[in-house]
Amino acid sequence: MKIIKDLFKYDKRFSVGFIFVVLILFMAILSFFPPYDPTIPHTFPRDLSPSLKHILGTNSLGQDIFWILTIAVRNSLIIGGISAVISRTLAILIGSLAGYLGGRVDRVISTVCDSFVVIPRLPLLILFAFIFRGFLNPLSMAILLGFLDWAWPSKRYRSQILSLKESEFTNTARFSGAYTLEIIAEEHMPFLLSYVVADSISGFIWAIGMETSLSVLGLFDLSIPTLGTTIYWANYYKSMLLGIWWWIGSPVGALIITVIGLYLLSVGLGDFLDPKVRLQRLSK
Amino acid sequence: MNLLKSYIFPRLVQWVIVILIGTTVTFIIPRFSPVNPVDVVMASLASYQTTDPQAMLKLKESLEDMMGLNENIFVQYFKFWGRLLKGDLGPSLARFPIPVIRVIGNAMPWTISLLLIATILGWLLGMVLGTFAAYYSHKSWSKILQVVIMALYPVPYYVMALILLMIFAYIFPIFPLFGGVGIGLKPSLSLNFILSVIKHGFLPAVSIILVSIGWRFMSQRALTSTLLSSDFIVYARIAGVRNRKILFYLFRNSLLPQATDLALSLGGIFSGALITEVVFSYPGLGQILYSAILQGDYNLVIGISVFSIIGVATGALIIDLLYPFLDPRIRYS
Amino acid sequence: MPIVSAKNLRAYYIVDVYGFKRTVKAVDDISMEINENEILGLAGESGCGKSTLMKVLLGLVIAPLKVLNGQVIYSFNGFEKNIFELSEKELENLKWEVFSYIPQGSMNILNPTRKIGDTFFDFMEPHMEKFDKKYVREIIIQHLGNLDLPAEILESFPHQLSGGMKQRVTIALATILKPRIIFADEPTTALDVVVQRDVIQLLKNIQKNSKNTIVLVTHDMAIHANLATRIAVMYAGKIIEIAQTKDIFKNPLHPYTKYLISSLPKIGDKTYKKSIPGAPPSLANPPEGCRFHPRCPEAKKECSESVPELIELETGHKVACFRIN
Repeated sequence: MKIIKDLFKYDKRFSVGFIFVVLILFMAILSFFPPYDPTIPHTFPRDLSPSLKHILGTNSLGQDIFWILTIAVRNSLIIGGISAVISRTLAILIGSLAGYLGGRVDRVISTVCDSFVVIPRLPLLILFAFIFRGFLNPLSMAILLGFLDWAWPSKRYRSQILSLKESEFTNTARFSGAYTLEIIAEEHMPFLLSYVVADSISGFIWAIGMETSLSVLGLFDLSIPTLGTTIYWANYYKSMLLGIWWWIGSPVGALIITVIGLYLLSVGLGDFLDPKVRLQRLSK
Repeated sequence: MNLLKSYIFPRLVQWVIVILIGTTVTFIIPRFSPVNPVDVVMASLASYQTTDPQAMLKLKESLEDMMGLNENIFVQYFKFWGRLLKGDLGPSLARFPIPVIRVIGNAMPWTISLLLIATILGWLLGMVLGTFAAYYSHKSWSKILQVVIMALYPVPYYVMALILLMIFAYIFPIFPLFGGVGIGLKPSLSLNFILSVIKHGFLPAVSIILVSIGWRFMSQRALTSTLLSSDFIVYARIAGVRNRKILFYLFRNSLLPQATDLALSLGGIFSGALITEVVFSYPGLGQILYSAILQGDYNLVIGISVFSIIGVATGALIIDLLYPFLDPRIRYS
Repeated sequence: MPIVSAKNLRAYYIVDVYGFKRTVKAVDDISMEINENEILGLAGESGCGKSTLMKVLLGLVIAPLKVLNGQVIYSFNGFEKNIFELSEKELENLKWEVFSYIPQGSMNILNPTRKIGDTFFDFMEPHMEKFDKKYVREIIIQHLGNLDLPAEILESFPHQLSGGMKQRVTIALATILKPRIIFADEPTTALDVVVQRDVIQLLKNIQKNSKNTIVLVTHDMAIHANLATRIAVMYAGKIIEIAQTKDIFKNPLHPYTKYLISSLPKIGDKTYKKSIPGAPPSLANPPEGCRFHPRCPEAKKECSESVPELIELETGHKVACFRIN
């Protein structure tokens, strides 16, 4: 709590990001308490512009855009969150294997990682989603995305671990008789953990962006509201050409607030948790 | 000779590995298909009322070779590679009966030229702006630039393209809403044609540049800040070496890591370009991929996957091979 | 008139991260003079502020380092100005022509992607009225010849040279414009002993030939004994004793200086070397009074209460200690 307060006070980026994320989380929570089922079409007159009754107006299907959006935000956050957890778990495992075991294991893993980093992921994702069209739900989508986003972070964790391994305090700990696992758990994890937190958020952002891309191409279950499918339907009904800007604008705006908020949060946290800065605070 | 053995050869091996892994994944994914793609395609083709039985036969053959489930998976894998190496991926369903390879070949030049220009410009701009922003970090324009780019960086390619399209093609109709060239213009070297291509390619290129600049700017700014505290830069500044020389030092010494990074991020930029093309209905790979998805064109989707992997891997290889020209330490050791 | 004189210098590192403030008093009220045609040694343990003092003398004040008080006056040929009050242009003109700087031997001073020759050009260009590459090249080759360095190195990249060679190139780079003062910060650290000797000899020759001033920072008293004509001893951000080299070694007055001298090995001496009791104080939170008093075997009550002034005892021998005065 104190940390958040301090960050809020001294880091403008963090405070803006924090406000954005709280806003988005608030919307996601609201989705559990809708005054009516917002997914049922033709509940209201079509294409109403924003007003007090309908904050973000209604769409061509006669749905309230705000309440649809709360569900969309929630689903997109769930997809991003699960995907980030999967990809970072994989990445930590693979990166630590390469970093701690070293030698031939490291060479093989690094070569494979480098290859996966180069391979463009969107075509593969599209191929997958295309073959499984109609079988994707938020969970399977999140798993799919998670399994495609481990290569970059593995590389980064590996290099972090390598630099930790060669650091002075590791040697000190080793010469004073600590076991390898002890060193990893007690000396390295505090450093890595902070890095993982900031890095996971970027995984989150990537997954949300990818979900949007796939949904916009019509490769996701279009009956499930997500930020991507909301944009898909707005496009499908030519909302831009018809001048119903609030329909296409709302999910786009929510998406931008989400990714920028998350990104600023990760930058602020990343700087704050940076071991160099932390040392300066500790040595007071 | 040494360079060949210690530098170029490993890159070539890596290139082969990337393509091997990529195409193998492409081969494996359809095996998990819950439906038999051959049946699906043949069923949908029946509604085409085509009168060319030979082309239909070819389509069926290619589908069975690449996605059929009847034979042993190793035999299948062998056949898959056989087709790839011959460049014969069968006819496209979306543009029946034109072969997939020709459909891709027609779209390739559009994507490659768009990507080439956007990638190089985005890379250079990001590096130059990042270097300046770090060198003059106390100036207010540097801080404003940083805020602007920080807000651009996390925005997905799709959204960036959509916003640009909304503002500059729809609200202020300065640029065309779709296409790669004016309707009815035939490819030629006339000024009219070239201007039309530039006008159509401008917004797609800008949206790719704006997103890819973000990462480049951030990483270059961080790199430059580190370089600024490196011994040789500090020393040159103490000695009063001219500002433009220092800026050149900074740029020159970050060229190497940034070239490696560009090779690695090529896949991401390529993916972004696909999506951007869809938004602008630009006649490149992204657009034909989109129509392939809409029409259930298995051959084309697989073909584009494989060719993107080969293309991006080759692009990365070319950048890697240029590396020794940038780094004296590789050249002379 | 000394060529450089510092008056009441105070330079602190002031760090403020997320509201955690920290002040490191690296240079705390220092006054000193540097004369022409001398080699002044700055001695003291690591972390006593000697490198910071040198940076401040060079006018090289980059955040978080801040000069809170004092002046550094450069005077020669009728020029007499405080370095902190110079315009950017004036400062640029002083650099390399009037004073130059040799950094630690362990550092990567040379741009790794540039040939040595081009680095020389870059360093000289701002100080040449007309920059004629061919002519400048000749000057460089002649200068390298004077320092016994081959001209071929101009075509090499730094990674092709050995560590000792790089340091000699750095010295050549720092002396190419024949500056009046050369500041050398631990120039021999991280070099092996044989190369160290070469570098020391090189510096000695340069000083002998061009009669300029060298300010030499090192923790190594043996090098000071070898090279310096006058020595200033620093402790915890303050100068505690300053005198001619032979006076410092023959008649050290401050207890801290005595420890430094007695820690030096002598030929034939088999006695046990005493190390100084305790550890150097943190500059973030130095002790009250004389900063050495917690480690001083001769400390009196007075020492923990007020700060001793640097007082001249004999001509040219100054010391800051209550026990002496």
